[in-house]
Amino acid sequence: MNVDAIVKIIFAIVSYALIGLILALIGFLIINGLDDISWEFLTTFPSNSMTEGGVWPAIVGTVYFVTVALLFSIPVGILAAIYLSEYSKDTAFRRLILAANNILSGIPSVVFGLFGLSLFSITFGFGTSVLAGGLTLGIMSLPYIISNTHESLIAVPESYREASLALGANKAETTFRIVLPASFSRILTGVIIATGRIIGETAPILFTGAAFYITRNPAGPFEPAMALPTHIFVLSAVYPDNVTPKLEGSISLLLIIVVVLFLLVAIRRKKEMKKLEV
Amino acid sequence: MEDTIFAIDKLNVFYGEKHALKDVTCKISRRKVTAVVGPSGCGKSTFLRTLNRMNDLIASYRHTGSIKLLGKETLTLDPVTLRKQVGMVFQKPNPFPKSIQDNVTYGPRVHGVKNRQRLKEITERSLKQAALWDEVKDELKKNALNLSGGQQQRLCIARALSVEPEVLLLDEPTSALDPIATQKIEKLIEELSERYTIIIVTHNLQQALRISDYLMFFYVGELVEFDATEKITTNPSDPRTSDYLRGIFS
Amino acid sequence: MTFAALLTSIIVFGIFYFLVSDGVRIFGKISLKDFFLSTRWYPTYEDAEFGILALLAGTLSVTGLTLAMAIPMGFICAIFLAEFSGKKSHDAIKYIFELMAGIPSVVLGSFGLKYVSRWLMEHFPLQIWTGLNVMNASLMLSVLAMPYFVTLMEDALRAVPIDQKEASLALGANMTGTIFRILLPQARSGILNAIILGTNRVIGETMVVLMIAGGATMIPSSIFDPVRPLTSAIAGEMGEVELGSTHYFALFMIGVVLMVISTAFTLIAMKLKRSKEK
Repeated sequence: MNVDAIVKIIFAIVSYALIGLILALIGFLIINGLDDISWEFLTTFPSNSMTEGGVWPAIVGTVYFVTVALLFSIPVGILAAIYLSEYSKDTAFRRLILAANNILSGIPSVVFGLFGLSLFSITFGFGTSVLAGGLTLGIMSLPYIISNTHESLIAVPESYREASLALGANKAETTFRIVLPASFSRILTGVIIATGRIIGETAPILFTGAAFYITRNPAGPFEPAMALPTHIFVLSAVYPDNVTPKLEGSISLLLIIVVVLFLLVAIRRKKEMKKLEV
Repeated sequence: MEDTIFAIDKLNVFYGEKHALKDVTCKISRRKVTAVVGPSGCGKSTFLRTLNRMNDLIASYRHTGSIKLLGKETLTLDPVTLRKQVGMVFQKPNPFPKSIQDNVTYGPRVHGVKNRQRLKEITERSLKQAALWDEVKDELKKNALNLSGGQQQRLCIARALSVEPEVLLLDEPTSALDPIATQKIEKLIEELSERYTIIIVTHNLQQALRISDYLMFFYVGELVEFDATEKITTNPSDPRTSDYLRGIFS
Repeated sequence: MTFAALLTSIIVFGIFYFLVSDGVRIFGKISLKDFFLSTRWYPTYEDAEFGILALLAGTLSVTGLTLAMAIPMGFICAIFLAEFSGKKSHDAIKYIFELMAGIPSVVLGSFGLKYVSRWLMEHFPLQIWTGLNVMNASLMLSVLAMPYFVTLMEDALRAVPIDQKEASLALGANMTGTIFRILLPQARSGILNAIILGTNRVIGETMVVLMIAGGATMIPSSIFDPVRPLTSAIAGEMGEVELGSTHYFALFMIGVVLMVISTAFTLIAMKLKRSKEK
């Protein structure tokens, strides 16, 4: 028997088995909680010590946190990436920025939480709030947005820039009117991916912005909010023995959102590939 | 009467929809130098790579027809065995990032030779046949990437020879080298043809005319003409061949 | 725009600053040696002690077991993807791995808490005294870590110039031999990079270990012992700590340790990449 054929079969079995397990896991978690997801579930507050009611405040809170985070990281990230790709020369400064970006992307999520607590909650005085939590989350998503935007920008063919400059436009105009729009699609995909990542993050908002139980949604960014991931955490940790239905529903919901976001990314990528083949 | 080493019958090669080689039928003689020439895109590299089944690596590749090596059908043979008999040297020298010695002994080791004495003998023999021994015999442990381009290519030839193939396929072996290195390799090819069958693809017509016994002229996937080099150059049968010889095509 | 770029470095230094400034205050109350070398972590006792050695052991044990499981698996999948799989299955498998990386850690923690721990206690052949242990955490962490290994290792294999593969095959070597004798050695630095980055990710993971590593401050003597890794100490205790207390400083100091570790890993990976490019 052919060595290559044997190796190929064994490796294939391992790979497919792993994939199968993961799909089974995701499928199980989503399906398990599906029967909990109802209009009531999505739009009411939890009640009766979390054994009844819904997750509306968690959904709202998650939206708030992610919005604040993106409001920070998208503009800052894009500007920083533009600087890196269009304006900077290969100096020590540039290398510093790239190194800092790399380092930031490897820092544990709980360390971000400590930093957010220390800087936003305490020093800036925001306390436990959507603002503090959102900004912490924003800082966490910054490195990815910068790298992805940077890559998207340098993928724009040099000939576009040359054509624009040859027509008399200056660098800023070239960047904002030609290069940025040309890379917009990829940048958007990157934002979607970043969103997918931070939507499930717990540690950064655990002590900077998330509340475990509130009776009404925050009136402004200076108040705390609930969030889906922290809600899942609380339900799991507080009721370890009986499998609370609301927990399964919450997990299911979160996973569905993540899967949908990924599908979106996959579809967008397929479209990009098709465009390049033409 | 010369020995036939390759008997090719109605060979057709497809890459997906593209019909790259059309109905190629010919007999290649043993221990002679056969040059494969033609304008860019005519299928000469495809032809070469079909002989040692390197095309199998390409997903869209399909073939019909038959290629017999010394009577055995190659297209259904195990490619690993085939490649021991039919070796290949590539256009850009591609030695492994290992020592000179390890480059040459890689082939034999993969095929089961373990005895160190034997490996040493093989190394010396192959490097001598490739006219490289004198230049590197004291530095066999040196990394192959430190050699010059021409030396690296001769190392690749030695490497191919180490498994003692019947046939050596050369895919534009000197196009990445300077004229002096090229000259050395052309001389080497003449020497090697006494023991091995050489089939060389080249876009350099002068080179083909200099070193080959037989000439295969391909045009847009068709084998237009195949005959002794002298005969083709003095009296080509096909007008396309004479056009090419006169330098009209690239 | 320059400022936006500069912001990333500012943030990195800022994190260091805030963490260290609060963290070093612990050394006013306890010696360096005691902090790092003592296994007695009893922050809530009257006579509190703050030795993090046991916590460190927790991080190391969980990380070690995760790597032992995820690296070989990831390796096999990477080889399968790079050399043996057809286009369609390749894309499908890759997509699933990306999805795998997107699963929120809190969801994995919850699954481990509710299901894996029960399975370990009831159906596992050995007698285990708690289902929340190194093994459980490592299993779930492997789910998080494997996509890193697979993607990066596959990239490393594909980065080897194709003419090396051709040269080997043309000599009559089979695919398996070619992979192990020619491709893998040349992909070494990329694989190392994958391992470093994956390890960094595992060390920094918080929620999974918080929920299922067990929480016991002890040096494990078996993989079925509960542990409390550094990240889960912070996440678990931060909620109950008084601002400005010794415990508070101790947790910040742990944050410093984590930050130093992850920065070191990132810098080593960067250095390796740079020296390869020479």
